[in-house]
Amino acid sequence: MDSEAFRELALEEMDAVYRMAMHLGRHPDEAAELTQETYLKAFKAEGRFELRDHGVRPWLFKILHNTFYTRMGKRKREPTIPDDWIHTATPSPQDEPPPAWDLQHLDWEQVDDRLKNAIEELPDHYRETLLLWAVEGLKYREIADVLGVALGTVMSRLYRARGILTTQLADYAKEHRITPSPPS
Amino acid sequence: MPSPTPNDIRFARVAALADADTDAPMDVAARESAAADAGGQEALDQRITEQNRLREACSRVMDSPAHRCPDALRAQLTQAHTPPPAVIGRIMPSRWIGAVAAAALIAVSTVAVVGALKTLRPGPQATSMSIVQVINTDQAARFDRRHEVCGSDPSALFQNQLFPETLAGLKNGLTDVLDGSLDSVQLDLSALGYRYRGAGHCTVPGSGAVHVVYGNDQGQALSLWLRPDDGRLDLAQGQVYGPPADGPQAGRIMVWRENGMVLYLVGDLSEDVEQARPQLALHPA
Repeated sequence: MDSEAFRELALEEMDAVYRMAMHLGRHPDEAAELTQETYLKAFKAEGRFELRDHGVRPWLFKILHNTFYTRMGKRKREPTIPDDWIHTATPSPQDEPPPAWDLQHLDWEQVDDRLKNAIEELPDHYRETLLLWAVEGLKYREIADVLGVALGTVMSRLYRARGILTTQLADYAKEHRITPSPPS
Repeated sequence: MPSPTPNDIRFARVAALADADTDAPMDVAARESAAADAGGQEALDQRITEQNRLREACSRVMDSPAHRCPDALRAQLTQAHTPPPAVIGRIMPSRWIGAVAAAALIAVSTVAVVGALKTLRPGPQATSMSIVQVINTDQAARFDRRHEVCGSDPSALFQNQLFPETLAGLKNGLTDVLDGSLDSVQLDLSALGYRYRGAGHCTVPGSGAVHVVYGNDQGQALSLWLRPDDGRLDLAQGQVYGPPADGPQAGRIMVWRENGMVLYLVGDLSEDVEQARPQLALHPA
């Protein structure tokens, strides 16, 4: 891919990179600095980029992720859940269905603020994984590549994150007796 | 932590399979196995639907205008990463003509390459209509993926914010949601054999968009997204835009601007997209 085509592709992703930077940095100034640094590194490393099916977005997210954690001075080894957790751990008490089953009568329109707060309160590694999946539309394998973790880790983080969210939403819905509004 | 019971493991497996289905649909064998574990196909479908709704809701609440790249930063980044014009230093007169000729050759080549990148060559089933690239391969893939998911199950992603089940009632629903005056919106594709199947919120094109799904008797689907034009895409009225000409979605995705709205049309077949596009119209009140 020539430089001009790469530049066009990369700059088209500015909104996505900035949005993710905002979610990671939680402040516009931090997000702006992260975005600038990400693009600076991306254009320096342009020769190493290979255009595959997913475009340039996951590659930019990977640079952003590494930049953020380097800036934050966090250890590279984040707390992770074993890859085989999903097959062996205990998701809920015996004979009780997982919380997600309780959401069938939830009116999603009424829980936006609650959901947003719940996402903001997720542990960083769950939140980033969830956002890459839900907001940025990345597939599990792409997320694994961005975060530098195993595919099973992505699955278990998402499972955990969704479990936390659905539990909170179900509690909230029960507390506020929220039921779906009839179709207009 | 106590050891997991067989029941725990069963639920964990169902959850994992159902969650993974929102990423990439399960094959028949995996679906049957998951359905058995879940206690039936209905329970499994419910789980998948809930996960899809959660995903949509997360996307909706976390993609606010405040998270858009500020114009100043956008301009700064664009300028910083735009190559400066070539500077001709002290060139000896005898070399000057050669340098100009080389520069002209590069310019002509660049124009040709950019033109080739931006112009979608009509395929065997397309007309001679010129389509300019406005979304990249990655974005096109997102539209395509969502079209595939909602086209096969329109109820999956609508977060309980259901629009009327009939096309007749859709106009008012769109007017409310899109905050526009759509007095005589024309969204009927029955002349092409496509019937309205449903509509709902969708964030694939950005916040505040609506996804309308059509299907025909052959099992093919057409997807139409509408969202208010916020000027992010520089679209000329009357011009049709598309994804890269060499991508898998070429001819199957068309984008255009009409009466303050941006419309994205995606189909299984390029000829159906081409025929459907002129049938769709938004007329102001």
